[in-house]
Amino acid sequence: MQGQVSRRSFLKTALAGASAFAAPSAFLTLAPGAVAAPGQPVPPISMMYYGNWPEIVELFRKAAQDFRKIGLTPQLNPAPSSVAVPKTLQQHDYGDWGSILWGATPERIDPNFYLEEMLSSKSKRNYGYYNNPKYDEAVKAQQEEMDPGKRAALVKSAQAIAAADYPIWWLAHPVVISAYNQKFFANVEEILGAGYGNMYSIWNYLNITPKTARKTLRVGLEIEINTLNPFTAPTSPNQQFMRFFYDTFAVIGPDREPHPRAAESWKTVGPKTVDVKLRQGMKFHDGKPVTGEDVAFTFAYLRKWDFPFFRSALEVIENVEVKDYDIRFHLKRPYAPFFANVLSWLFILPKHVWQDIPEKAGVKNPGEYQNPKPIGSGPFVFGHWRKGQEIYFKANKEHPLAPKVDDVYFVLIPSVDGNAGALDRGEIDLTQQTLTPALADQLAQNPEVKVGYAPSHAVYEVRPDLRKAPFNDVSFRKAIYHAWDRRPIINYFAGKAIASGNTPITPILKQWHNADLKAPEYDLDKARKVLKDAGYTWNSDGQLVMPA
Amino acid sequence: MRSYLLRRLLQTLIVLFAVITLVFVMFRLLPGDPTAMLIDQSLDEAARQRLLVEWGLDKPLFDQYLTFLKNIAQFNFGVSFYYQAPVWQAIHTAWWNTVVLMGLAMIIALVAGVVIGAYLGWKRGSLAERAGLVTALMLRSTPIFWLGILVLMVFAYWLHVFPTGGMRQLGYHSESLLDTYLSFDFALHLALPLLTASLYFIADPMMVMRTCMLEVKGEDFLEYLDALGFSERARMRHCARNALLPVVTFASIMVGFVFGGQVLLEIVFAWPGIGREMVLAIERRDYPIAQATFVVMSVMVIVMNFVVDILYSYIDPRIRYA
Amino acid sequence: MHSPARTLRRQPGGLSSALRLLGSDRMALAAWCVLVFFLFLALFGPAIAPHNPIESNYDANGALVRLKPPSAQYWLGTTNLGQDVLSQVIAGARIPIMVGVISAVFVVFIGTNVGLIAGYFGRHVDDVLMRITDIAYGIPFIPFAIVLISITGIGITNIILAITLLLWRTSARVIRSQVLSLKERPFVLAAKLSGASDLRILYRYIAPHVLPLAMLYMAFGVAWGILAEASLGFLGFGDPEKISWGQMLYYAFRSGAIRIAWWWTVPPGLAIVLTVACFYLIGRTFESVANPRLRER
Repeated sequence: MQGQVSRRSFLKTALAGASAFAAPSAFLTLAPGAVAAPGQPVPPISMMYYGNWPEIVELFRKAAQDFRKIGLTPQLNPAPSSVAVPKTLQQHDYGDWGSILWGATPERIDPNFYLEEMLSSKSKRNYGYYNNPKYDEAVKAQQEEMDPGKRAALVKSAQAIAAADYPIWWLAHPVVISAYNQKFFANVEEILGAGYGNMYSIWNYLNITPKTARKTLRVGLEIEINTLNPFTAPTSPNQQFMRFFYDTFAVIGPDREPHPRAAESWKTVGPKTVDVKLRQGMKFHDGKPVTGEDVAFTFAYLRKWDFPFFRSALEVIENVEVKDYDIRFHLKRPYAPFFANVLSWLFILPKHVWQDIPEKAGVKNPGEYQNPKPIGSGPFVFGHWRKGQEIYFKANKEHPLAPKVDDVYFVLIPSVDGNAGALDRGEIDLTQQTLTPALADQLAQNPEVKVGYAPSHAVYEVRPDLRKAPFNDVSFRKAIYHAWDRRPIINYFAGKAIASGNTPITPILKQWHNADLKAPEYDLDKARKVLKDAGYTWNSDGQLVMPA
Repeated sequence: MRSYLLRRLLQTLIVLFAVITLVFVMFRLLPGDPTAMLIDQSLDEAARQRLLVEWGLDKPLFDQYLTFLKNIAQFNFGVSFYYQAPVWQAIHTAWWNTVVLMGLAMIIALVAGVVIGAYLGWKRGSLAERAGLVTALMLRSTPIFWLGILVLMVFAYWLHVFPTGGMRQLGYHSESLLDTYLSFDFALHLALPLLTASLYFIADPMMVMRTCMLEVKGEDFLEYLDALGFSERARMRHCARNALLPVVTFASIMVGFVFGGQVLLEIVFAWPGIGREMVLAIERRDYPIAQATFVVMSVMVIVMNFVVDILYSYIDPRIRYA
Repeated sequence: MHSPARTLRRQPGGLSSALRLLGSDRMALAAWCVLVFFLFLALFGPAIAPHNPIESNYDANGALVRLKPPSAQYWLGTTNLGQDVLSQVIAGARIPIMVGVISAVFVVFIGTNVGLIAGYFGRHVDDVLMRITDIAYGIPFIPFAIVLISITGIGITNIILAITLLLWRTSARVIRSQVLSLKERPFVLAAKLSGASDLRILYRYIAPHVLPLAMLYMAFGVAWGILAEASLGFLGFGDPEKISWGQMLYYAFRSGAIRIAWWWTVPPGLAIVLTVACFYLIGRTFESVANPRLRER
């Protein structure tokens, strides 16, 4: 309670400071070749978005109608997401406006991802070219504040600085629709961004409890994993999958906070020093004990081979000191996401297995090793993987967080429809990938099945190239915010999706979300008024005309 | 004859080379690179570059092309970016799944199509012929994915007789390839996609056969047989044998599908086959798999074309070759 | 000089002969009527649709009319976003028919010219053109279209481009074999003797004789074009700004609604089948002209 009060007062001061910082659009330079000349009609606006995602297609269909009503000429340029994503994020070749759906990967629960990656001037993902030094400073400040309470205030002030500039139209947070068989299983929670069964969270797999004598959990898997190699697993779900048998130090719980896993506890001893105490008595699946030596080996190994997927996690770590079960991390700089994003990402390798690889495995690089039988110390023991059919895990009952089930089958059912059908007929107990609302409706009629709509920190956004006129005008951007009708997305999720505030961070993450930042509501009259007040006019054809 | 054969062979090789080159160029023109589809938590720009180096994508395009050609000449399609495994190892099960489904569908369509077509040709002008023709026309006009959806709706959702998709009940352990495909469970999953594919393919052999029957029926030797007192059955059999050549030609065209799969069908029935794998590979920019599937599919068609041409010149001496 | 098998292989097989039998005048008339109906939808669809096909509908309490079966207000029910299915079917006619017709024109134009030139000039010209045709045959359509659209972007133009780039192959082969027999005919030899130029012989004397065949392939081309557009729409490569039947089926399938919403899946599919069948039936009208031998039967 006390913490909350102090946090709020801190927030107030922070916000006051933030609004002073926000000098709208003064810092934006006009890109060469911008064609919107003063006193001339606003040129057609090309927009790239995912042409193969129904809810996004509907969003833009509706928006295009509305934009015409306020005098704009939208040029819709949909592309399959496999094209739109690289074009937008890598090549920044999206026309005037681009649109991305940021998925609910676990590391994005920490606010740093959205704050730094989206809008900091150095980020490659800042494809709208937002550039506000005050904002960059605020991002750095929250990153370096190791005290969670103080950091929350800084996070909120960073959001406020960006919000005042309207650099991105944040639209909605989807829901994760998942279901499980409640006749046979209990103790399943709705995890943010993961629902009941998504691999983004191991939590439910640890805690799901059989109600009957059958202790085997059967999970539908729509997209198969790619590899058992922990270093090169190329997708986020695959990486998370590896952490079922390779223990991380921490695990993110339903409260979205890191909880001890292989680590017994941790504490910040200095701004750049974190002490982690490894649990004693843990064993690898082949019976050998887990020691500090394995931890030291893991870090040396990862550093030596420099696997792309581990670079940014290792990048903040200066070095690691190991003494028995005491591990001391020396960071290069204070890094608040360390606990959520590094301790729950890095895992412990058994030294006795990997010290001979790649040499004894006959490969040049451990990334090429097929690792047919992964040995870790995690709560699940790898059983088998029959490609195209199933993956089988046994529970590691000796693990401190031992699962309540005895074993788990992941059964490959390569369509969402097939997964729903299998759950309905009792052939599986839990769905992994998200269901569609229509399927959820149908499943809900089955009394054995519990359907859940878990909130998600994923977010739909559209952003303009801020270097071009008139998108470099904050009033214009604010007016457009009034013209976005988010109902197509909300409707697509059967009314369960949440409209975003003027911030990427979902209101569900109360400790980080700045609730004062309301997004301008959908109202074309207000959009027109904002434009009018900013000096825009309309010509006889109804086209919007730039201020003279 | 030999010079004709040699020349056709040479030309076919040139065509193959052109297709292979085209495939390479097409995939390199795709926007984005494979790293874009991958995990992004830890992937900073330098890391991305390292992956590109690892995959040989940092080299000049022409070098990549030469490597690609060299590998193909050795039937080596490289290592899949996505599966982190050699291409064949990554997709051979998908390949077999498709071959089983499409191969069976082709056999059913050909056998049933030929029999029905011969019957229709024989019963010229009857009500049965008319009904058969309308059905064939409708089947030819139906998109395969919609046919699949209808079949699913009727047999899986309403009647609950067959599973909705996939290939396997869970927990099913097959010890060998043969075991995989010889089980009741597999048959159950195979039934609906097989029905759809057979229906989709049946119209052509049926119509080809019927036309041939009509043409053959008009020929003199049938009257000769008649004069010799052959029964209707025996005449029909005789007639059908003569009409088979064009059907065989048609079958050779279908072989391309057997190895390439029917993307749409595999998507509707969630059949873990090569067609789906190819589309996914294109989406993931997994060049090695996309190229391998594409090239093999093309090569099958081109080679079959070549073989049929040569066969024709042997079978039917009336055909002149230059 | 030319590959013999191709001369024999008559695409599209026996279908044309079957059509001929079906094509009693009444059948053809029916086909034309149905086609005129769909053309009417294609032209005036948006104007006669009872609802805005892309607008979500809400009931009196402001709740989304989601996945409702057919009713007096929504004759063919609603989609998962509360859109009127009937209006979508009506508005969805334009794109497939447009894509079908335009691509058929291109396909037949290219195919006819390739066939004419290859068949008439023979030798190396024939060899080169026919090997290019072989390449077109060797490329699977759907994967090719996916790659092409990924490169060029989503849009009707690119769908037409994908269809045109590959599907000319069939008419090229057929017309070539027709030309092969035509060029031995006395009137061509006579024209040659009288000193007419090759181009003149080709386009003045031979081309009119392959025109009926070209028209037949035009009708079939429309049918293939519609099916191809539907397939690409079903794969999610349709133009998202516009509605088409294949795309409707894509959304029905993607949303998992095919389990329950027959009213959403059956009508667009039926519309495709009927339109395509009509073009096949109408194609036969040109057939008896194209192949006089058939008239005797």
